[in-house]
Amino acid sequence: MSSSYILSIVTFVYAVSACLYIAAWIFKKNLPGKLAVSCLIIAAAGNAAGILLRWKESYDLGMGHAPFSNLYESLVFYSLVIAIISLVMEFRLGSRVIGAFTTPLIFLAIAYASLSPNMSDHIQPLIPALKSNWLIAHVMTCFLGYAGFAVAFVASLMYLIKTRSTEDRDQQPIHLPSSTVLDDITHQLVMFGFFFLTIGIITGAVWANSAWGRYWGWDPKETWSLITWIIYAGLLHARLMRGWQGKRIALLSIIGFSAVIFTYFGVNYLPGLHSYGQMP
Amino acid sequence: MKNAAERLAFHHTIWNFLASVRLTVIVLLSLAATSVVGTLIPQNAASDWYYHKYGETLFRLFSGMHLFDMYHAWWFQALIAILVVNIVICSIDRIPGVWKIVTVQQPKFNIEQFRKQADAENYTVQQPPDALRERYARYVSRHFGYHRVENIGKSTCIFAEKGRWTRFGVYGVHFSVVLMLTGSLIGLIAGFDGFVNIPEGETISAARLNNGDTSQPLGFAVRCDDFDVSFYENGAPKEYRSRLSVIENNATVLQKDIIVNDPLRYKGINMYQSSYGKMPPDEMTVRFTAINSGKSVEVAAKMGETITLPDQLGTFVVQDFKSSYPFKGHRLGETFIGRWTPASGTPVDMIMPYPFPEFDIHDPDSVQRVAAFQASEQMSATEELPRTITLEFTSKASGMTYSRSASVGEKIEIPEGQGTFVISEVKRSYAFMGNPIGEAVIGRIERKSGAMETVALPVRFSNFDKMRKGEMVISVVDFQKPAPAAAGGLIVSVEAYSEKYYTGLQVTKDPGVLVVYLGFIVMILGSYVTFFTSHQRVCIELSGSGKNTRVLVSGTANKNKLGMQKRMKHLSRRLQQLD
Ligand code: HEM
Repeated sequence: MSSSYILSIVTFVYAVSACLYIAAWIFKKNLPGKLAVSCLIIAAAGNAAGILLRWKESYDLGMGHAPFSNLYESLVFYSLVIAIISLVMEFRLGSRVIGAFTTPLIFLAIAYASLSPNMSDHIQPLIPALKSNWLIAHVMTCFLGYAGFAVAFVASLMYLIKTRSTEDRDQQPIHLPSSTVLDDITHQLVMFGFFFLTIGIITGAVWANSAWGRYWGWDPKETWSLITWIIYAGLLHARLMRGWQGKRIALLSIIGFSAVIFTYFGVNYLPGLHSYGQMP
Repeated sequence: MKNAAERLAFHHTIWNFLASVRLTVIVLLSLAATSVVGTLIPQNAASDWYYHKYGETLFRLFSGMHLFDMYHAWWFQALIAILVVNIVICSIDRIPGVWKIVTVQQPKFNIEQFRKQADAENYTVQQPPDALRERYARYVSRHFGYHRVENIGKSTCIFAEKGRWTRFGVYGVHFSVVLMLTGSLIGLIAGFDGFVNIPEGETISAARLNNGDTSQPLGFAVRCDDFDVSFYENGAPKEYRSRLSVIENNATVLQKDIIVNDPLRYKGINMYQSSYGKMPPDEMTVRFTAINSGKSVEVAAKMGETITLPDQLGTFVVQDFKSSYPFKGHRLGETFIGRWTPASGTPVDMIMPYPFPEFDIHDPDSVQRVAAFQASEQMSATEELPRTITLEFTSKASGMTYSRSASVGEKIEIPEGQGTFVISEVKRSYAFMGNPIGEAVIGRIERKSGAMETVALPVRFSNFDKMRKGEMVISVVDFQKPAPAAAGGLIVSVEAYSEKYYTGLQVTKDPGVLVVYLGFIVMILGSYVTFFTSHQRVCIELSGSGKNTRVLVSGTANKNKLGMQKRMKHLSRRLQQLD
């Protein structure tokens, strides 16, 4: 069984898990919730197995590189990390609601990787510039960071929904954790994400310095990851200002995650020459 | 006139503003927003590129705002400078307070604050306070850096704390930002960034700087002993490898194979594998075949060196080498260009395509062989444009067809007294009603009356000009690339040539890198401390008399309050399990 095959099954299991989580949340039922968690754990385990198998396959093909070298591989890793963070938050909060928001996101990420026609799931040999251990550290830490921000984004969305539903008396109260808790986990996750994005940018700089003789070159991809980082640094400081807790932080966290998405997908549409494969 | 108190208040306001987090948020969000602009406008391209892309007005506007190199523009650098001032003043403002908290000998504990804690843990033990006191204090001393036991009123309090120093973590993060920026400034002032190509076997001792055309001496010499490139089966490059020797005082002091992620470092200068290419060959074997006698001779030649041919055939010079050569719509590949000077007569330029050794410019079969070989290949955009163009003018009135040759810019008479014609340019790709129709000759007709008309003559469509419904239909019949004048008698071909690569190296010196890397380390450690550790203070109050003790376990932390709550639960459970 090939890793691509396993990962397409995993995509399906994530979808099932997402449906169950949402059903459990809307109908406030326990059984679909339990099933949803099991599905998510199984999917995450399969996701991890798929990545390991792909690693092994690359050695069997004589290329032997870690599976973090192209968009497909990074998206697959991304889904795994979001799934793990989601599970951890779920256990820490003792509430399954968060899964109803994270699993659709995970499903989107991995489905885009598996189904998008212009995405190659072939294992490709590494061009010279990508042959570096710094690259592995760089990709892993960046995606840990982005995953932290993704779940923070989810918590911020939940925060906004929660505060709107409590402000609006006519509406049925929506079943969500308290806004204090949501604000707190947003902060926790932003710190987690910021820590790993910091390491991600730093390892990227060290890698660039070893490959090109410069640690920073202001190319669009680098710049966008810095923009993302600066937005979250702004968020961490804005929290310290009076009147900035809560809603505005939730909005900044959403803006920050949009920057993450743009860093990831949008940069390729910008004018300019950047591609990490361009050398020499 | 302001009085002293007002002035002081004013300074105070400025200081507070410069130390404020509000300023930080403003500057950070401005940096983020402006940085976006530099990713939308490609940076550091050539001026005429920008001019073409944006047009005059936007070009002037952007250029005035320094948007073409915006990360080095004064206003962007000023934002960074404000950030640094903000960090420094904020630190000066706050560090003394933190210093006191961290270094105090006898930290103050406010028992009321702990009693008020909503999530304090309470339980009762059926033992007298004195029995618990020692045991609890011992446990606490093992887990906290500082503790003391105090009697407050009727109860006994064990105060403890740990992680005081973690309050410095955030200043580490802030300091690291300053370190990195300082490091990059050092690099900017004392470093350089350049480029050098070294042909295999040759030695250089200077590099060309990327900004400007100045040359930067390295202080030592570098020889490229060998260059190799290998490919994967799918044709993607696998590895570029250069063997370099560092030479000082005529002695090799260091030898190293460099690949893309593994540069050569010597005396603060780094050399990175960056590109490669083929050198124009300087030695070749040339074969001369006299067509009449069929006699053939091979001669070793050097680029630019005149050789004398046997049998009074004159002299020959190989003048140039092109890695690709266009000929009548075909690409001949690697081609040598030479000049034959027959014993009597005018010199003749000849082309000698390496892949087509039998190539004879006067033999129509030659061209067909090339055509068959490259049937599907398109002309490349880098080809040379033709020098002479032959046009046909067909008169509507008389039905006569006239042939005329001209080069670009040359004015010729249109037959039958119809005026003059000038070829103004040759377009590689001409678009007609939105469709590219290939190469076209653009010309201008000037009538006797002075009236002007511009015509486009696509090379591939000889009837195109009929659409104009003019007096003359003009078409392009021969679209000649540079080719020798009539030669004949001799076929010249290059049989073999020396193949040599050069390696392209990025050469940098950046004495600031160490400072930047130190900043990296401090930032990672600092943010770990900031995000995942905290200054925790705990109070265990033992009250009651006789056999029962009421125990209060309460704690505060400067960060992660929810985590502290869990820790207190854990601590109280542990204390209850102590025996
Ligand atoms: C790029 C620049 C900066 C970075 C990366 C940075 C980073 C950080 C981080 C990671 C935190 C911890 C936030 C948290 O615990 O949630 C923090 C806190 C803080 N920062 Fe910055 N900062 C920067 C600039 C500044 C500046 C210019 C100031 C000047 C006012 C400042 C003032 C503060 C303050 C007062 C705190 C709170 C400290 C505390 O909790 O005791 N920061 N900063």
